[in-house]
Amino acid sequence: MPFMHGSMPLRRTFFYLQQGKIKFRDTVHVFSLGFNRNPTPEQAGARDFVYWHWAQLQYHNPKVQLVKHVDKVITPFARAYLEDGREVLFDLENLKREEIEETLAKTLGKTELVERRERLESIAKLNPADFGSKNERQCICEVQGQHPCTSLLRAPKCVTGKWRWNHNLI
Amino acid sequence: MLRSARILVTSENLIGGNGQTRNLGRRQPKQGKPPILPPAKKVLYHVVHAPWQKPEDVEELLWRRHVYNNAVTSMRDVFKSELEQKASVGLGIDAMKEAEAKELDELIAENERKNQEKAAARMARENQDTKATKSAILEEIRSELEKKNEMKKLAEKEVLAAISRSQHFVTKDNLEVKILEALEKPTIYDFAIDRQGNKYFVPEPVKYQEGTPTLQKGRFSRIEVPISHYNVVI
Repeated sequence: MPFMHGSMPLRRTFFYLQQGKIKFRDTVHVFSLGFNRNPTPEQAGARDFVYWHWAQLQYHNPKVQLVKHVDKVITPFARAYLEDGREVLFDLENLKREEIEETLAKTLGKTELVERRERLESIAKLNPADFGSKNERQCICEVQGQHPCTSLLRAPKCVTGKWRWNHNLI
Repeated sequence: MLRSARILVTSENLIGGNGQTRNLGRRQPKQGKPPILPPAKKVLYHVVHAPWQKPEDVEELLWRRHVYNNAVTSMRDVFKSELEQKASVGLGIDAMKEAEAKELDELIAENERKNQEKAAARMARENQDTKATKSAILEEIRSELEKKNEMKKLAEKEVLAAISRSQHFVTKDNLEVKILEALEKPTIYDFAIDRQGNKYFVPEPVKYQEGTPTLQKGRFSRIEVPISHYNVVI
């Protein structure tokens, strides 16, 4: 199977996906990147970036639309479309793939300040009265004094839906 | 008899005395909620009288509740004022968002500056490349023109030579004279060459045959003259 040879399977491992450094800010809605498939040495960085980091980008930014422009223009570029309608253009000529990654992470990625703010907001949003997988408790049965879930303790027959008081009626 | 009586009893059981059937078959149960039951006799008219607490205890518990409620309210106030103070100083979420926006603007401006630098560098490089290409093309054109010029000079020389030679050309006017000249002085192109480069021309043909002509022995093209009679030109 040719797909399992070389670096191809490596870059699709879960561990490799997790190593991605670029986590776009919430203001970034669309990110597009133009590159050449048969590049000159100056253009090779963008192609390598797509090969190595595109899957990581997709993994870490599920809500950002990611677009590839293949063989459209000579100069490799990246263009991000922000929430407020602004467009940020990156000139990727003469950049290696590590440099491209660093540039994108620095300019459009989440900085220390953004991460701190998001952490504070998540704390403020947390309500101990909420239930669910994203909250402090999954179910009311976890609260002391409440009736436990029927999966943990059998409910009395009259509480279950199967119980009927008059078999003649229904 | 006994068996038949038993069978009758079972059939009565299946069809109740009030005419209702127990739906033990595969029929769907009827829709609708069951009727409201009257409260059980045990519950009906049974009032629970809680024993009276001591007035001191009630007073104490009320006081404690008030203290607790006051404490919670004041704590909420303290936290609220703390958050408001932070927001007023510029440490609130809104201030952080503003700082973020400012930071992003700066980063984008920095990126734009880099882009412009790169564009300028590219422009300079492209200009240089264009100049080099232009000079190369001009050089090629120049060499080509020189070559053509040389060719032209050669051609001119050739044409001049041809013109100078054309004085001796055969024309309509001097046709008779030239024919007579050719007959008088025939040009011989028939010769042999040895390794030293000596040319052996065949002897000039005789203009007027003298004596009796010899009989043809071999082919007509074959020259029947010994090589010792040839005119040698070195």
